[in-house]
Amino acid sequence: MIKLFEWLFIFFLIMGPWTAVVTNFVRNEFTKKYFTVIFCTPFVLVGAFGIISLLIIAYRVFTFNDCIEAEKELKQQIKMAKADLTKKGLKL
Amino acid sequence: MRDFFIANNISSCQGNINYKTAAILKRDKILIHKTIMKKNKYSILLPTYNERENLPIIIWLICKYFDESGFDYEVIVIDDGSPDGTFEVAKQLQEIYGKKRLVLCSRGKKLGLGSAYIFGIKQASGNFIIIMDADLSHHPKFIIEFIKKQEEKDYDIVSGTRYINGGGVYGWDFKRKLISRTANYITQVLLRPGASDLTGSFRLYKKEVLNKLMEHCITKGYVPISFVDRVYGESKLGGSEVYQFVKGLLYLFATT
Ligand SMILES: Nc1nc2c(ncn2[C@@H]2O[C@H](COP(=O)(O)OP(=O)(O)O)[C@@H](O)[C@H]2O)c(=O)[nH]1
Ligand SMILES: [Mg+2]
Repeated sequence: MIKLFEWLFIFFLIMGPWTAVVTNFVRNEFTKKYFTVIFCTPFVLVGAFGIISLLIIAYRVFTFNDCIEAEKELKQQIKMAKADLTKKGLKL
Repeated sequence: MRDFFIANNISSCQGNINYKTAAILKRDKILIHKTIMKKNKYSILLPTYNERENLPIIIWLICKYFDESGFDYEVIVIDDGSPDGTFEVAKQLQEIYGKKRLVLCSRGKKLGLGSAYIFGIKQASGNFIIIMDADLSHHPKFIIEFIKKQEEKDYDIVSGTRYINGGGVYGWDFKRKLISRTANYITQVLLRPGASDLTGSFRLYKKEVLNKLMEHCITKGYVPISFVDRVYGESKLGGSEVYQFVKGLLYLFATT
């Protein structure tokens, strides 16, 4: 359960204090002054994570290396293999 | 004066002797090195299901690259009673290449890829196992690179990866690239496995390591591979594949 717990641990580490502040369980000068910032933090984090992920995936999709050379080489080798094997007596 | 000469002679003699021992040592080392190199044998497992067209070509290529490199090897074909007659072709190939190079196993019915590997390992006489698809999406030329990589740091596993520089794919449309990259990304983020291509199946293993499968503390080397999509026959990437992936991912997520 290690990976699951790692994620849960981080989740509660952030959401615990956040819930405490949002539900007014914890109240002081600091939380009063920055209430909106604190309130928005998890949403911003999730949103940013989502956007960054999408950008990374998009970048990787568009830069996924197309091995055109590899295909050409293979096509040629297929021809050579067929010719050689037929010569050695293979019936395809 | 005489003493000087004798001393000089002795030292030059010693010099000679030292030189000779050095030479012998060096030669022995090369010999020892060569015998060690000779002892390594690579067993390539080729599970096949309806690969009648691909099989002769993949075997021809494997033999070509291995014969050029001089490594000792054997190819083990595990066919699951392919209705297209793959096994008949395999038998013809065995006549060309011989029973030592080409080992054939036939199982009555389609029992799946995983069990085919397990079955193949039992037949393998090499101390290294290479697993690859028989559909030509894994080019045999990379095997030699895997072996060289393995020797570099005596890695337990060398894995082909489509995702690092120099690796890549051919014949994938946008949708397939998107699915592949997304799946790979999610896996990397959730599991942080330290492996860049988990879903690929082009790898070299030390046999004893593969036998102990999935144990911890394993060193891995990576070789970028190009992945040319199958020319003959067809692959299966559909809804059920995605479902299987998500299921597997969640399972690993909850257990490791
Ligand atoms: N022996 C055996 N081989 C299989 C079976 N299913 C697939 N294969 C082989 O496994 C390799 C990979 O299969 P493929 O359909 O290309 O899977 P994909 O590359 O993941 O789409 C090919 O060489 C197939 O011939 C099976 O049930 N038994
Ligand atoms: Mg395939």
